[in-house]
Amino acid sequence: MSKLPSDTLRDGVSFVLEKSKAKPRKFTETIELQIGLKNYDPQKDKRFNGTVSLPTIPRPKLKLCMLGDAKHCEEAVGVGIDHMDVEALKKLNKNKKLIKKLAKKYNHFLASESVIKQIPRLLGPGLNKAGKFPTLCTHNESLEAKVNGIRSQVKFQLKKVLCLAVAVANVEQTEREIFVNVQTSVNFLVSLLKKNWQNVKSLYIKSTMGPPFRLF
Amino acid sequence: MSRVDLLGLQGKCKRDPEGYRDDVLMQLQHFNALHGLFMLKPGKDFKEFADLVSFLAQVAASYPKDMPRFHVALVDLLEKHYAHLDPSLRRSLTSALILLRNRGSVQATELLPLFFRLFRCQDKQLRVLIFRHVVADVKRANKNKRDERLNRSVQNFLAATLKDENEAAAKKALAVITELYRRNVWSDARTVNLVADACKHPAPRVMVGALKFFLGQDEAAEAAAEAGDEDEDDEDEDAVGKKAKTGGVSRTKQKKQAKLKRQMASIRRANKKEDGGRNGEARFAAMQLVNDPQAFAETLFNRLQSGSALKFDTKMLLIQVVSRVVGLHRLHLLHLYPFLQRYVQPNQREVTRLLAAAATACHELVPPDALDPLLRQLVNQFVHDRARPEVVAVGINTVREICLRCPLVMNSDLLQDLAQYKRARDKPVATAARALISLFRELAPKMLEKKDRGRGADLDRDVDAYGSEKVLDRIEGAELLQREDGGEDDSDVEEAADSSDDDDDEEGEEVAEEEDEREETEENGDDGDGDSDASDSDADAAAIERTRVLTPDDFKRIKALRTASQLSGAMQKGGGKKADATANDELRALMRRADAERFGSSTADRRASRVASIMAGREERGEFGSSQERKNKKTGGKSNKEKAKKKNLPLAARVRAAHKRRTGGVAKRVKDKQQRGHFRKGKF
Repeated sequence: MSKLPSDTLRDGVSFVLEKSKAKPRKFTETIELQIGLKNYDPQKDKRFNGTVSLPTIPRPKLKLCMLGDAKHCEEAVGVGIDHMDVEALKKLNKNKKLIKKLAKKYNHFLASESVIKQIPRLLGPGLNKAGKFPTLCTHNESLEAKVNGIRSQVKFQLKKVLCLAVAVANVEQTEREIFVNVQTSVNFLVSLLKKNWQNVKSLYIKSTMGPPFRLF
Repeated sequence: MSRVDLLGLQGKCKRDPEGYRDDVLMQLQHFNALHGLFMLKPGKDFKEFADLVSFLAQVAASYPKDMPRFHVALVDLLEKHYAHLDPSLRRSLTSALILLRNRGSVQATELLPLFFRLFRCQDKQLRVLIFRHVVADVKRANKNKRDERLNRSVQNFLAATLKDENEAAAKKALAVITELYRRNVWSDARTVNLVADACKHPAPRVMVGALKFFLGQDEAAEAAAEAGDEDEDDEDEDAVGKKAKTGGVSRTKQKKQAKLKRQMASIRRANKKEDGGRNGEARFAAMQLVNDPQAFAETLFNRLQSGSALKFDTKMLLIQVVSRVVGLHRLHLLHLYPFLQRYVQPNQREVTRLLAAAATACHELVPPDALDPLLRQLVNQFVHDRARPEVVAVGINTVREICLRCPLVMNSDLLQDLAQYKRARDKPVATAARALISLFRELAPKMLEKKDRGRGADLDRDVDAYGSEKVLDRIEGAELLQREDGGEDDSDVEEAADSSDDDDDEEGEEVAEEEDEREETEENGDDGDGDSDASDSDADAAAIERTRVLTPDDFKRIKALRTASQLSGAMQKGGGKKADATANDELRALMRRADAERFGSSTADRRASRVASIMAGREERGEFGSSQERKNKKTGGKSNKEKAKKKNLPLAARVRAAHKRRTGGVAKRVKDKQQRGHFRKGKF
């Protein structure tokens, strides 16, 4: 028998959508999955870390920045994301404050092949410290596909505490899309855990401003 | 009063506190007088005073109202004169205070400052006494329930002491923290960060203690965990062995069986490595808890660079800790590698530890060009024809460790050069070279020469480019589960119904219903091998993890299937087509049985099968009956015992035999002697 019946999940999704429709906000609410774990010692057991791409994009407005060569920068303009070239990076002059500011401004960074190797030298440890070391982007793949790929992926990473939350959908999507996204991410999360469902204490979904709904 | 009198009075006070109150008050007055004298100038004649103090400390719990200032007097005296007091008086004052604390009449925070000041005394016995007390005190406070308030105040105090200029006090504070961490009383981030701060202490001895904490604690924990793991493994191995013997692979030849076992072992090893984190790094619990690892590593590294005054051993410790932090948290500390490069020489002291540290400091986020000079130096210095064989072996092994963590640093020319050592005459060198080859057979076979690639090498496989992120589209192994389920479904009678179900999948409507039906089909489905190609296309259309929530059983099956596919892959590589076909069959059977035995069946099923097997075992055996009945049925003459009973003997002999039966052959005289102690103690 399934640990999480589809009916409960469907109820949860419609509950969240209902609540968000009952009181519309002035922005697109994100739906997030909140997870509590048990029987896990983050000091001793392996801290899991996994990224999965979801069928539909949960955060279409994810802010990206391309740290690219000339060609990639041009493409970035076409796709509509911000970009910086090597000169601009050099201007930061390893200034910790500026780099921290840069890291804060964006959710994710992309870098071309020629640039990414220089990043530790150009920027120092700042980006890495913020957990936003760029992802490689080659000329072989189209930038648009890459950007969409990044926007659709979610990362499950256990840190020092036994709970985590990830954005898996938004209220603009159809009920069906949300349902599939939540299901995929729950499945993926459980597959990452050492003892699978035995490590899951609780699962909630909620929209940004809405009340939580307990799934498990 | 003499010492003996005081002891007598102490006993009486404990039995009847009210009755002897006046005596105690008199002694207290006497104490106050003596205390005043000692405060002015600690005298030589302290015997009486010491006895008095220990008497009052013993009875203080019975008269809480009469002597509220008693401990304050002791603390004052010790604070003022601890350097000049006689050692034995100092010890008895301290133990009086410890006694008061153990009885709960003093707070820990009142005593700690004094105790840490006393650590400065040149008196080892005293220091040991205090150290044990502080550790035991905190441990006792946290025994049933964590006493956060006490912990916090003690930790705050220890933090201040750690920053103390006085080396002895700081060292002892560190020792207290370390001991409490080791005993698992304090294992939180606060504690670890106190030690991390202690690494910045100007005194090298304090720093060394803190560094050893980061290196040593984890090793002990790791050893313990490893021991536990091995036990588990043995059990596992037994299970696998048994399964293989009971039938799964009875048809295969011994050789194949042995191979299967080997592959199982290697897969298990790989899984274990994965569990333990990347290359077993995840166990450094203390290091995981450091608040700002980058700053921590940078401070330590600065100290390492500027500290020419440091001893070599201290430097070595610093290098080890820095590289562990860098490796574990994947930090960018690019100056570290050129620094380490200076030490990479065969005649360097402790070169193996150093090389191990260098390998630990590598991780996939280090730009390959930063590591390149280090690798070149390593190869140039260690791996050449005139070097001693053990030096070459160490060099190649280090290269392999570096490549394991940061494979991009290797190029194919260098790799092919190193691979040629596999024919070396010395065994360690050849083994090291082969290990390097087998690593790259996994990572990027095309970098090796053709003859080294091994059979069935996947030439498309390459090392991940720098900075590329591993994103999964599907759960690992989900496609296996789906293919297997699909295979079963296809062979089923309800194929028509299934195909319509699959359509539903794509539209993604009736998931719940679909699931129910799927379960039905599973029950009906036997182990047919349907054409899996057809189901493959279906699998791509609707990934299983997007259509339903996977159950615990699903995950167990995925795990089993993944092991099976890894195994069959490994078996395929070695043998011919026919061999792997049979191996495949066997594996399938094995997996299926494992599934059924371990996961598929419910508790009730399992119980039923157990009962059935018990019943089967009973069929050949007769019913139980009384022992007398069995004896009556017995044929073939009498036993010696029966004969002895019936034997005709003279009376005296018979009496004696009867007596012997009663007493068990031991004479009364002997028995009395043996049991004399018991009689005396009244046990009978």
